[in-house]
Amino acid sequence: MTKTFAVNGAGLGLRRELLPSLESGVPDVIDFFEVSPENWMGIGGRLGRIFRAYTERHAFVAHGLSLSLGGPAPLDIAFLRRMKAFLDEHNFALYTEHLSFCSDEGHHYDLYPIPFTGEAVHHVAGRIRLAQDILERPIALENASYYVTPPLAEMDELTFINAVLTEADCALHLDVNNIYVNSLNHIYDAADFLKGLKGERIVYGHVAGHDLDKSGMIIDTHGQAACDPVWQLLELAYQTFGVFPTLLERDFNIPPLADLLAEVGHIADLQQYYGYGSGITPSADRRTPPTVQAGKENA
Amino acid sequence: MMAFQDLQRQFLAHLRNPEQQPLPTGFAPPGAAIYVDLLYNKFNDSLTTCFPVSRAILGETAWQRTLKDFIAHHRCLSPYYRQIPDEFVLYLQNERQVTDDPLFLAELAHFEWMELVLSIAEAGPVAAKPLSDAHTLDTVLVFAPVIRLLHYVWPVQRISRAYQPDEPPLVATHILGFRDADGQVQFIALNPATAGLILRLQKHYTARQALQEVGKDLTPSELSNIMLFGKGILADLHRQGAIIGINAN
Repeated sequence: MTKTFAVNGAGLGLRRELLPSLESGVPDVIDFFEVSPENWMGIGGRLGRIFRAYTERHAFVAHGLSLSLGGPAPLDIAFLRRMKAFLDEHNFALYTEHLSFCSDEGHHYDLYPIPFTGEAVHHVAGRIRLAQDILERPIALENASYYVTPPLAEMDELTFINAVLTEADCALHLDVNNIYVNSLNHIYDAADFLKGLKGERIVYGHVAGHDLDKSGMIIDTHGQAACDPVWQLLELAYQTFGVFPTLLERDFNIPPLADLLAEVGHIADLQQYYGYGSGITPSADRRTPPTVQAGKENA
Repeated sequence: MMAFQDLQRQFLAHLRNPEQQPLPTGFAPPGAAIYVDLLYNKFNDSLTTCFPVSRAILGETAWQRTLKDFIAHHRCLSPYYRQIPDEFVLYLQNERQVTDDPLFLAELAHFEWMELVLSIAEAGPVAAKPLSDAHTLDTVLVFAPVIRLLHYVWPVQRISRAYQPDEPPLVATHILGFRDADGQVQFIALNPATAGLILRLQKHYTARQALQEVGKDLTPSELSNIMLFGKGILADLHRQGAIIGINAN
Protein backbone atom coordinates (compact mmCIF):
# COMPACT_ATOMS: atom_id res chain seq x y z
CA MET A 1 0.00 0.00 0.00
CA THR A 2 1.32 3.43 -0.84
CA LYS A 3 1.76 5.79 2.06
CA THR A 4 1.23 9.49 1.52
CA PHE A 5 3.43 11.95 3.36
CA ALA A 6 3.12 15.59 4.39
CA VAL A 7 6.26 16.41 2.41
CA ASN A 8 8.17 14.33 -0.11
CA GLY A 9 11.78 13.68 -0.96
CA ALA A 10 14.89 15.12 0.64
CA GLY A 11 15.16 18.28 2.72
CA LEU A 12 17.64 20.57 4.40
CA GLY A 13 17.47 22.31 7.77
CA LEU A 14 17.25 26.03 7.06
CA ARG A 15 19.58 28.09 9.22
CA ARG A 16 20.30 31.80 9.12
CA GLU A 17 23.90 31.08 8.17
CA LEU A 18 22.66 29.46 4.95
CA LEU A 19 20.52 32.38 3.81
CA PRO A 20 23.28 34.21 1.89
CA SER A 21 24.20 31.16 -0.19
CA LEU A 22 20.52 30.47 -0.97
CA GLU A 23 19.89 34.05 -2.08
CA SER A 24 20.49 33.27 -5.75
CA GLY A 25 17.91 30.47 -5.66
CA VAL A 26 17.04 27.20 -3.96
CA PRO A 27 18.68 24.21 -5.71
CA ASP A 28 16.26 21.60 -7.08
CA VAL A 29 17.69 18.84 -4.92
CA ILE A 30 16.09 20.49 -1.86
CA ASP A 31 12.46 19.33 -1.85
CA PHE A 32 11.59 20.97 1.47
CA PHE A 33 13.03 22.85 4.42
CA GLU A 34 12.76 22.44 8.16
CA VAL A 35 13.15 24.97 10.95
CA SER A 36 12.66 25.00 14.68
CA PRO A 37 9.56 27.15 15.03
CA GLU A 38 10.85 28.58 18.32
CA ASN A 39 13.68 30.22 16.40
CA TRP A 40 11.30 32.11 14.10
CA MET A 41 8.21 32.83 16.16
CA GLY A 42 7.98 36.55 16.90
CA ILE A 43 10.80 37.48 14.54
CA GLY A 44 10.06 40.62 12.54
CA GLY A 45 12.28 42.98 10.63
CA ARG A 46 14.42 41.96 7.68
CA LEU A 47 14.83 38.36 8.89
CA GLY A 48 11.11 37.96 9.37
CA ARG A 49 10.46 39.17 5.82
CA ILE A 50 13.04 36.76 4.40
CA PHE A 51 11.51 33.87 6.32
CA ARG A 52 8.04 34.69 5.05
CA ALA A 53 9.32 34.73 1.47
CA TYR A 54 10.71 31.20 1.99
CA THR A 55 7.58 29.74 3.57
CA GLU A 56 5.45 31.23 0.79
CA ARG A 57 7.52 29.46 -1.87
CA HIS A 58 8.65 26.18 -0.29
CA ALA A 59 7.31 23.29 1.77
CA PHE A 60 8.31 23.50 5.44
CA VAL A 61 8.43 21.14 8.38
CA ALA A 62 8.43 22.51 11.94
CA HIS A 63 10.73 20.63 14.33
CA GLY A 64 9.89 21.89 17.80
CA LEU A 65 12.23 22.22 20.75
CA SER A 66 10.42 23.70 23.73
CA LEU A 67 7.21 21.80 24.26
CA SER A 68 8.78 19.63 26.97
CA LEU A 69 6.41 16.74 26.26
CA GLY A 70 7.93 14.71 29.08
CA GLY A 71 8.33 17.61 31.50
CA PRO A 72 7.14 17.71 35.13
CA ALA A 73 5.46 21.16 34.87
CA PRO A 74 2.08 21.62 33.16
CA LEU A 75 2.08 22.01 29.37
CA ASP A 76 2.39 25.66 28.36
CA ILE A 77 -1.03 26.20 26.82
CA ALA A 78 -0.40 29.84 25.86
CA PHE A 79 2.75 28.74 24.05
CA LEU A 80 0.83 25.98 22.25
CA ARG A 81 -1.73 28.54 21.06
CA ARG A 82 1.05 30.76 19.71
CA MET A 83 2.57 27.70 18.07
CA LYS A 84 -0.72 26.85 16.36
CA ALA A 85 -1.04 30.39 15.01
CA PHE A 86 2.53 30.27 13.73
CA LEU A 87 2.10 26.85 12.08
CA ASP A 88 -1.12 28.06 10.44
CA GLU A 89 0.32 31.38 9.36
CA HIS A 90 3.26 29.77 7.54
CA ASN A 91 1.34 26.73 6.35
CA PHE A 92 3.74 24.16 7.82
CA ALA A 93 3.22 20.70 6.35
CA LEU A 94 4.23 18.83 9.50
CA TYR A 95 5.04 19.48 13.14
CA THR A 96 7.36 17.21 15.08
CA GLU A 97 8.69 17.26 18.67
CA HIS A 98 11.13 15.28 20.78
CA LEU A 99 10.37 12.43 23.15
CA SER A 100 12.19 14.23 25.96
CA PHE A 101 11.81 17.11 28.39
CA CYS A 102 13.53 20.47 28.50
CA SER A 103 12.11 22.31 31.50
CA ASP A 104 10.49 22.29 34.91
CA GLU A 105 9.26 25.80 35.73
CA GLY A 106 12.32 27.16 33.93
CA HIS A 107 13.54 26.37 30.41
CA HIS A 108 16.95 24.81 29.79
CA TYR A 109 16.89 24.91 25.97
CA ASP A 110 18.28 21.37 25.89
CA LEU A 111 16.69 17.91 25.63
CA TYR A 112 16.79 15.44 28.50
CA PRO A 113 15.74 11.77 28.65
CA ILE A 114 12.53 10.85 30.43
CA PRO A 115 12.73 7.97 32.94
CA PHE A 116 11.50 4.87 31.14
CA THR A 117 8.56 4.12 33.45
CA GLY A 118 4.93 3.18 32.93
CA GLU A 119 3.76 6.37 34.61
CA ALA A 120 5.94 8.38 32.27
CA VAL A 121 4.40 6.62 29.26
CA HIS A 122 0.90 7.65 30.38
CA HIS A 123 2.08 11.15 31.24
CA VAL A 124 3.73 11.80 27.87
CA ALA A 125 0.97 10.15 25.86
CA GLY A 126 -1.66 12.28 27.61
CA ARG A 127 0.30 15.45 26.91
CA ILE A 128 0.77 14.53 23.26
CA ARG A 129 -2.98 14.08 22.87
CA LEU A 130 -3.68 17.39 24.61
CA ALA A 131 -1.10 19.20 22.50
CA GLN A 132 -2.52 17.68 19.31
CA ASP A 133 -6.01 18.89 20.31
CA ILE A 134 -4.81 22.45 20.82
CA LEU A 135 -2.63 22.49 17.71
CA GLU A 136 -5.43 20.85 15.69
CA ARG A 137 -2.85 18.73 13.89
CA PRO A 138 -0.95 15.53 14.63
CA ILE A 139 2.48 15.59 16.26
CA ALA A 140 5.19 13.31 14.96
CA LEU A 141 7.36 12.21 17.87
CA GLU A 142 11.13 12.00 17.46
CA ASN A 143 13.33 9.47 19.20
CA ALA A 144 15.91 11.61 21.01
CA SER A 145 19.58 11.23 21.83
CA TYR A 146 20.69 11.20 25.47
CA TYR A 147 23.89 10.98 27.47
CA VAL A 148 22.72 9.58 30.75
CA THR A 149 20.19 6.83 31.42
CA PRO A 150 17.72 7.96 34.06
CA PRO A 151 17.21 5.61 37.00
CA LEU A 152 13.82 4.09 37.89
CA ALA A 153 13.59 2.40 34.48
CA GLU A 154 10.87 -0.23 34.29
CA MET A 155 11.53 -0.98 30.62
CA ASP A 156 14.17 -0.37 27.97
CA GLU A 157 14.22 2.64 25.67
CA LEU A 158 12.77 0.76 22.69
CA THR A 159 9.82 -0.52 24.71
CA PHE A 160 9.30 2.98 26.10
CA ILE A 161 9.21 4.64 22.66
CA ASN A 162 6.85 2.05 21.23
CA ALA A 163 4.57 2.25 24.28
CA VAL A 164 4.28 6.05 23.98
CA LEU A 165 3.60 5.83 20.23
CA THR A 166 0.88 3.25 20.81
CA GLU A 167 -0.78 4.94 23.75
CA ALA A 168 -0.70 8.41 22.15
CA ASP A 169 -1.54 6.88 18.77
CA CYS A 170 0.90 9.25 17.15
CA ALA A 171 3.38 9.19 14.29
CA LEU A 172 7.11 8.53 14.56
CA HIS A 173 9.76 10.95 13.40
CA LEU A 174 12.73 8.63 13.02
CA ASP A 175 16.18 10.05 13.67
CA VAL A 176 18.74 7.44 12.62
CA ASN A 177 21.65 9.50 13.92
CA ASN A 178 20.10 9.50 17.38
CA ILE A 179 19.81 5.73 17.27
CA TYR A 180 23.44 5.49 16.23
CA VAL A 181 24.65 7.93 18.92
CA ASN A 182 22.64 6.18 21.62
CA SER A 183 23.76 2.74 20.49
CA LEU A 184 27.40 3.75 21.02
CA ASN A 185 26.84 5.65 24.25
CA HIS A 186 24.57 3.06 25.81
CA ILE A 187 25.98 -0.03 24.09
CA TYR A 188 23.26 -1.65 22.09
CA ASP A 189 22.80 -2.86 18.53
CA ALA A 190 21.55 0.01 16.41
CA ALA A 191 20.15 -2.21 13.64
CA ASP A 192 18.19 -4.37 16.08
CA PHE A 193 16.85 -1.26 17.76
CA LEU A 194 15.79 0.25 14.45
CA LYS A 195 14.05 -2.93 13.36
CA GLY A 196 12.22 -3.08 16.68
CA LEU A 197 10.55 0.30 16.19
CA LYS A 198 6.96 0.62 15.03
CA GLY A 199 7.98 1.34 11.44
CA GLU A 200 4.43 1.66 10.16
CA ARG A 201 4.23 4.89 12.20
CA ILE A 202 7.21 6.57 10.51
CA VAL A 203 6.23 9.73 8.64
CA TYR A 204 9.52 11.57 8.54
CA GLY A 205 13.24 11.07 9.07
CA HIS A 206 16.41 12.85 10.12
CA VAL A 207 19.99 12.15 9.24
CA ALA A 208 22.87 14.09 10.81
CA GLY A 209 26.43 13.99 12.09
CA HIS A 210 27.88 14.07 15.58
CA ASP A 211 31.08 14.70 17.51
CA LEU A 212 33.23 12.78 19.94
CA ASP A 213 33.46 14.43 23.37
CA LYS A 214 36.65 14.36 25.44
CA SER A 215 34.80 12.07 27.87
CA GLY A 216 34.47 9.47 25.14
CA MET A 217 30.75 10.11 24.76
CA ILE A 218 29.33 10.74 21.28
CA ILE A 219 27.49 14.07 21.24
CA ASP A 220 24.61 14.69 18.87
CA THR A 221 25.90 18.08 17.72
CA HIS A 222 24.77 18.09 14.09
CA GLY A 223 28.20 19.58 13.59
CA GLN A 224 29.69 17.09 11.09
CA ALA A 225 28.69 15.31 7.92
CA ALA A 226 26.72 12.13 8.54
CA CYS A 227 29.06 9.14 8.86
CA ASP A 228 28.82 5.86 6.95
CA PRO A 229 27.17 3.83 9.72
CA VAL A 230 24.42 6.46 9.96
CA TRP A 231 23.84 6.30 6.21
CA GLN A 232 23.71 2.53 6.51
CA LEU A 233 21.05 2.84 9.19
CA LEU A 234 19.03 5.09 6.90
CA GLU A 235 19.32 2.49 4.16
CA LEU A 236 18.26 -0.21 6.57
CA ALA A 237 15.25 1.90 7.56
CA TYR A 238 14.25 2.36 3.89
CA GLN A 239 14.74 -1.36 3.25
CA THR A 240 12.78 -2.40 6.32
CA PHE A 241 9.98 0.14 6.40
CA GLY A 242 9.88 1.66 2.93
CA VAL A 243 11.08 5.13 1.95
CA PHE A 244 9.97 8.23 3.89
CA PRO A 245 10.77 11.94 3.52
CA THR A 246 14.12 12.63 5.13
CA LEU A 247 16.00 15.75 6.11
CA LEU A 248 19.67 16.54 6.64
CA GLU A 249 20.29 18.43 9.89
CA ARG A 250 23.34 20.62 10.17
CA ASP A 251 23.45 23.13 13.01
CA PHE A 252 27.12 23.82 13.73
CA ASN A 253 30.38 23.99 11.88
CA ILE A 254 28.37 24.66 8.75
CA PRO A 255 30.27 23.91 5.51
CA PRO A 256 29.70 25.47 2.07
CA LEU A 257 26.22 24.81 0.68
CA ALA A 258 27.63 22.51 -2.01
CA ASP A 259 28.79 20.05 0.68
CA LEU A 260 25.34 19.99 2.26
CA LEU A 261 23.71 19.55 -1.15
CA ALA A 262 25.89 16.48 -1.76
CA GLU A 263 24.46 14.94 1.40
CA VAL A 264 20.89 15.96 0.55
CA GLY A 265 21.48 14.49 -2.90
CA HIS A 266 22.62 11.26 -1.27
CA ILE A 267 19.32 11.05 0.62
CA ALA A 268 17.48 11.54 -2.69
CA ASP A 269 19.60 8.86 -4.38
CA LEU A 270 18.91 6.36 -1.63
CA GLN A 271 15.21 7.17 -1.79
CA GLN A 272 15.16 6.57 -5.51
CA TYR A 273 17.12 3.37 -5.14
CA TYR A 274 14.84 1.95 -2.50
CA GLY A 275 11.70 2.99 -4.34
CA TYR A 276 10.40 6.31 -3.13
CA GLY A 277 6.97 6.11 -1.59
CA SER A 278 6.32 2.57 -2.77
CA GLY A 279 6.47 1.19 0.72
CA ILE A 280 7.78 -1.97 -0.89
CA THR A 281 11.11 -3.43 0.05
CA PRO A 282 13.10 -3.87 -3.16
CA SER A 283 13.99 -7.45 -3.93
CA ALA A 284 17.59 -8.39 -4.61
CA ASP A 285 18.79 -5.75 -6.98
CA ARG A 286 22.05 -5.69 -8.84
CA ARG A 287 22.45 -1.97 -8.62
CA THR A 288 24.68 -0.86 -5.83
CA PRO A 289 23.46 1.88 -3.53
CA PRO A 290 24.94 5.27 -4.36
CA THR A 291 27.67 6.70 -2.19
CA VAL A 292 28.35 10.28 -1.22
CA GLN A 293 30.74 11.84 -3.74
CA ALA A 294 31.80 15.07 -2.13
CA GLY A 295 31.72 17.08 1.00
CA LYS A 296 31.98 14.32 3.55
CA GLU A 297 35.65 14.08 4.25
CA ASN A 298 36.47 17.71 4.83
CA ALA A 299 33.42 18.66 6.86
CA MET B 1 3.89 14.25 42.25
CA MET B 2 4.90 11.02 40.56
CA ALA B 3 8.29 9.59 41.49
CA PHE B 4 9.75 10.05 38.01
CA GLN B 5 8.79 13.74 38.04
CA ASP B 6 10.44 14.26 41.38
CA LEU B 7 13.55 12.74 39.86
CA GLN B 8 13.31 15.04 36.83
CA ARG B 9 13.18 18.11 39.06
CA GLN B 10 16.16 16.97 41.10
CA PHE B 11 18.09 16.30 37.92
CA LEU B 12 17.37 19.78 36.52
CA ALA B 13 18.22 21.39 39.86
CA HIS B 14 21.60 19.67 39.72
CA LEU B 15 22.26 20.77 36.14
CA ARG B 16 21.53 24.39 37.08
CA ASN B 17 23.60 24.36 40.22
CA PRO B 18 25.98 21.38 40.16
CA GLU B 19 28.09 22.72 43.02
CA GLN B 20 25.25 22.89 45.53
CA GLN B 21 22.52 20.53 44.32
CA PRO B 22 23.50 16.84 44.41
CA LEU B 23 23.07 14.62 41.37
CA PRO B 24 20.21 12.25 42.23
CA THR B 25 21.28 8.68 42.88
CA GLY B 26 21.30 6.45 39.84
CA PHE B 27 22.52 8.96 37.26
CA ALA B 28 26.03 8.37 35.95
CA PRO B 29 28.13 11.45 36.85
CA PRO B 30 30.05 11.63 33.52
CA GLY B 31 26.80 11.81 31.53
CA ALA B 32 25.34 14.43 33.87
CA ALA B 33 28.55 16.45 33.57
CA ILE B 34 28.05 16.58 29.79
CA TYR B 35 24.63 18.13 30.33
CA VAL B 36 26.07 20.65 32.80
CA ASP B 37 28.62 21.73 30.19
CA LEU B 38 26.03 21.83 27.38
CA LEU B 39 23.79 24.06 29.48
CA TYR B 40 26.60 26.44 30.39
CA ASN B 41 27.89 26.62 26.82
CA LYS B 42 24.45 27.23 25.39
CA PHE B 43 23.84 30.16 27.72
CA ASN B 44 27.38 31.44 27.23
CA ASP B 45 27.05 31.44 23.43
CA SER B 46 23.80 33.36 23.57
CA LEU B 47 24.95 35.95 26.11
CA THR B 48 28.42 36.47 24.68
CA THR B 49 26.85 37.39 21.34
CA CYS B 50 24.43 39.85 22.90
CA PHE B 51 26.57 41.42 25.65
CA PRO B 52 30.13 41.83 24.34
CA VAL B 53 30.83 45.05 26.29
CA SER B 54 29.46 43.75 29.60
CA ARG B 55 31.51 40.61 29.20
CA ALA B 56 34.70 42.50 28.39
CA ILE B 57 34.24 44.75 31.41
CA LEU B 58 33.56 41.89 33.82
CA GLY B 59 36.52 39.88 32.53
CA GLU B 60 36.52 36.13 32.03
CA THR B 61 36.46 35.01 35.67
CA ALA B 62 33.67 37.31 36.81
CA TRP B 63 31.74 36.58 33.60
CA GLN B 64 31.82 32.84 34.31
CA ARG B 65 30.75 33.42 37.91
CA THR B 66 27.94 35.68 36.77
CA LEU B 67 26.74 33.17 34.22
CA LYS B 68 26.77 30.30 36.72
CA ASP B 69 24.84 32.40 39.21
CA PHE B 70 22.31 33.33 36.53
CA ILE B 71 21.80 29.70 35.54
CA ALA B 72 21.55 28.60 39.18
CA HIS B 73 19.14 31.25 40.42
CA HIS B 74 17.06 32.53 37.54
CA ARG B 75 14.16 30.62 35.99
CA CYS B 76 13.94 31.24 32.25
CA LEU B 77 10.22 31.42 31.58
CA SER B 78 10.59 32.06 27.87
CA PRO B 79 10.32 28.98 25.64
CA TYR B 80 12.52 30.75 23.07
CA TYR B 81 16.25 30.18 23.14
CA ARG B 82 16.79 33.57 21.54
CA GLN B 83 15.28 35.22 24.62
CA ILE B 84 18.00 34.07 27.01
CA PRO B 85 19.32 37.68 26.80
CA ASP B 86 15.88 38.96 27.87
CA GLU B 87 16.02 36.63 30.86
CA PHE B 88 19.55 37.78 31.69
CA VAL B 89 18.47 41.44 31.72
CA LEU B 90 15.60 40.54 34.09
CA TYR B 91 18.03 38.70 36.33
CA LEU B 92 20.43 41.65 36.48
CA GLN B 93 17.61 44.08 37.19
CA ASN B 94 15.68 42.07 39.78
CA GLU B 95 17.58 39.10 41.16
CA ARG B 96 21.26 39.86 41.11
CA GLN B 97 22.71 39.88 44.61
CA VAL B 98 26.41 40.25 43.94
CA THR B 99 27.72 43.49 45.39
CA ASP B 100 31.06 43.90 43.63
CA ASP B 101 29.53 44.40 40.18
CA PRO B 102 30.14 47.72 38.44
CA LEU B 103 27.14 49.85 39.41
CA PHE B 104 26.28 50.47 35.77
CA LEU B 105 26.14 46.76 34.82
CA ALA B 106 22.35 46.30 34.65
CA GLU B 107 21.90 49.49 32.61
CA LEU B 108 24.78 48.69 30.28
CA ALA B 109 23.40 45.20 29.66
CA HIS B 110 19.95 46.64 29.02
CA PHE B 111 21.37 49.00 26.41
CA GLU B 112 23.34 46.18 24.71
CA TRP B 113 20.18 44.05 24.68
CA MET B 114 18.16 46.84 23.01
CA GLU B 115 20.01 46.32 19.74
CA LEU B 116 18.74 42.73 19.59
CA VAL B 117 15.22 43.72 20.63
CA LEU B 118 14.93 46.45 18.02
CA SER B 119 16.45 44.37 15.24
CA ILE B 120 13.88 41.56 15.51
CA ALA B 121 10.76 43.33 16.82
CA GLU B 122 7.70 42.50 14.74
CA ALA B 123 6.35 45.38 12.66
CA GLY B 124 5.13 46.01 9.14
CA PRO B 125 7.44 47.48 6.52
CA VAL B 126 8.31 51.17 6.84
CA ALA B 127 7.41 53.57 4.05
CA ALA B 128 9.04 56.90 4.88
CA LYS B 129 7.32 59.97 3.45
CA PRO B 130 8.78 63.43 2.92
CA LEU B 131 8.15 66.02 5.59
CA SER B 132 7.23 69.45 4.26
CA ASP B 133 8.15 72.54 6.19
CA ALA B 134 4.49 73.52 6.50
CA HIS B 135 3.62 70.26 8.22
CA THR B 136 6.41 70.00 10.71
CA LEU B 137 4.95 72.01 13.56
CA ASP B 138 1.19 71.58 13.23
CA THR B 139 0.50 67.96 12.44
CA VAL B 140 0.99 64.84 14.52
CA LEU B 141 4.24 63.26 13.40
CA VAL B 142 4.59 59.52 12.85
CA PHE B 143 7.62 57.70 14.23
CA ALA B 144 9.27 54.54 12.93
CA PRO B 145 7.14 51.58 14.11
CA VAL B 146 10.02 50.00 16.03
CA ILE B 147 11.30 52.68 18.38
CA ARG B 148 12.22 53.08 22.06
CA LEU B 149 12.97 56.24 23.96
CA LEU B 150 15.57 55.09 26.49
CA HIS B 151 16.60 56.77 29.72
CA TYR B 152 19.64 55.76 31.74
CA VAL B 153 21.37 57.06 34.82
CA TRP B 154 24.72 55.99 33.36
CA PRO B 155 26.24 57.07 30.02
CA VAL B 156 25.77 53.55 28.65
CA GLN B 157 26.69 54.33 25.04
CA ARG B 158 30.15 55.54 26.11
CA ILE B 159 31.01 52.84 28.65
CA SER B 160 33.78 50.48 27.60
CA ARG B 161 36.74 48.71 29.17
CA ALA B 162 38.61 52.01 28.93
CA TYR B 163 35.80 54.14 30.37
CA GLN B 164 34.13 52.79 33.51
CA PRO B 165 32.69 55.62 35.60
CA ASP B 166 32.36 55.12 39.38
CA GLU B 167 29.61 57.65 39.78
CA PRO B 168 26.77 58.60 37.48
CA PRO B 169 27.05 61.98 35.80
CA LEU B 170 24.71 64.78 36.90
CA VAL B 171 22.82 64.67 33.63
CA ALA B 172 20.86 61.56 32.73
CA THR B 173 21.46 59.83 29.40
CA HIS B 174 18.64 59.81 26.85
CA ILE B 175 18.86 57.72 23.72
CA LEU B 176 16.42 57.18 20.89
CA GLY B 177 16.75 53.65 19.52
CA PHE B 178 14.83 52.67 16.40
CA ARG B 179 14.84 50.52 13.26
CA ASP B 180 15.06 52.55 10.07
CA ALA B 181 13.42 51.87 6.70
CA ASP B 182 16.43 49.73 5.66
CA GLY B 183 15.98 47.53 8.73
CA GLN B 184 19.09 48.94 10.43
CA VAL B 185 19.02 49.65 14.16
CA GLN B 186 20.15 53.17 15.06
CA PHE B 187 20.78 54.90 18.36
CA ILE B 188 20.74 58.68 18.63
CA ALA B 189 21.97 60.42 21.80
CA LEU B 190 19.53 63.15 22.86
CA ASN B 191 19.83 66.17 25.11
CA PRO B 192 17.14 66.39 27.81
CA ALA B 193 15.13 69.02 25.90
CA THR B 194 14.95 66.88 22.77
CA ALA B 195 14.08 63.80 24.84
CA GLY B 196 11.24 65.83 26.44
CA LEU B 197 10.05 66.92 23.01
CA ILE B 198 10.01 63.33 21.68
CA LEU B 199 8.22 62.08 24.78
CA ARG B 200 5.40 64.56 24.11
CA LEU B 201 5.31 63.84 20.38
CA GLN B 202 4.85 60.17 21.19
CA LYS B 203 1.75 61.16 23.15
CA HIS B 204 0.42 62.56 19.87
CA TYR B 205 1.02 66.21 20.60
CA THR B 206 1.80 68.34 17.56
CA ALA B 207 5.32 69.72 17.64
CA ARG B 208 3.96 73.22 18.34
CA GLN B 209 1.96 71.97 21.35
CA ALA B 210 4.95 70.02 22.58
CA LEU B 211 7.36 72.93 22.22
CA GLN B 212 4.93 75.34 23.88
CA GLU B 213 4.76 73.02 26.85
CA VAL B 214 8.53 72.55 26.99
CA GLY B 215 9.01 76.34 26.81
CA LYS B 216 6.03 77.42 28.90
CA ASP B 217 8.06 79.81 31.07
CA LEU B 218 9.80 81.59 28.18
CA THR B 219 9.23 85.02 26.63
CA PRO B 220 7.55 85.19 23.18
CA SER B 221 10.85 85.84 21.42
CA GLU B 222 12.56 82.98 23.24
CA LEU B 223 9.61 80.75 22.34
CA SER B 224 9.94 81.66 18.69
CA ASN B 225 13.62 80.66 18.86
CA ILE B 226 12.56 77.33 20.41
CA MET B 227 10.16 76.76 17.52
CA LEU B 228 12.98 77.28 15.03
CA PHE B 229 15.28 75.07 17.06
CA GLY B 230 12.55 72.41 17.30
CA LYS B 231 11.94 72.46 13.55
CA GLY B 232 15.61 71.84 12.95
CA ILE B 233 15.64 68.89 15.35
CA LEU B 234 12.55 67.35 13.79
CA ALA B 235 14.03 67.69 10.31
CA ASP B 236 17.14 65.90 11.59
CA LEU B 237 15.09 63.10 13.14
CA HIS B 238 13.22 62.73 9.87
CA ARG B 239 16.43 62.63 7.87
CA GLN B 240 17.81 59.95 10.22
CA GLY B 241 14.68 57.85 9.85
CA ALA B 242 13.17 58.11 13.35
CA ILE B 243 10.25 60.20 12.05
CA ILE B 244 8.72 58.71 8.93
CA GLY B 245 5.91 61.15 8.06
CA ILE B 246 2.75 62.80 9.30
CA ASN B 247 -0.51 61.40 10.53
CA ALA B 248 -2.86 61.95 7.58
CA ASN B 249 -5.85 62.15 9.93
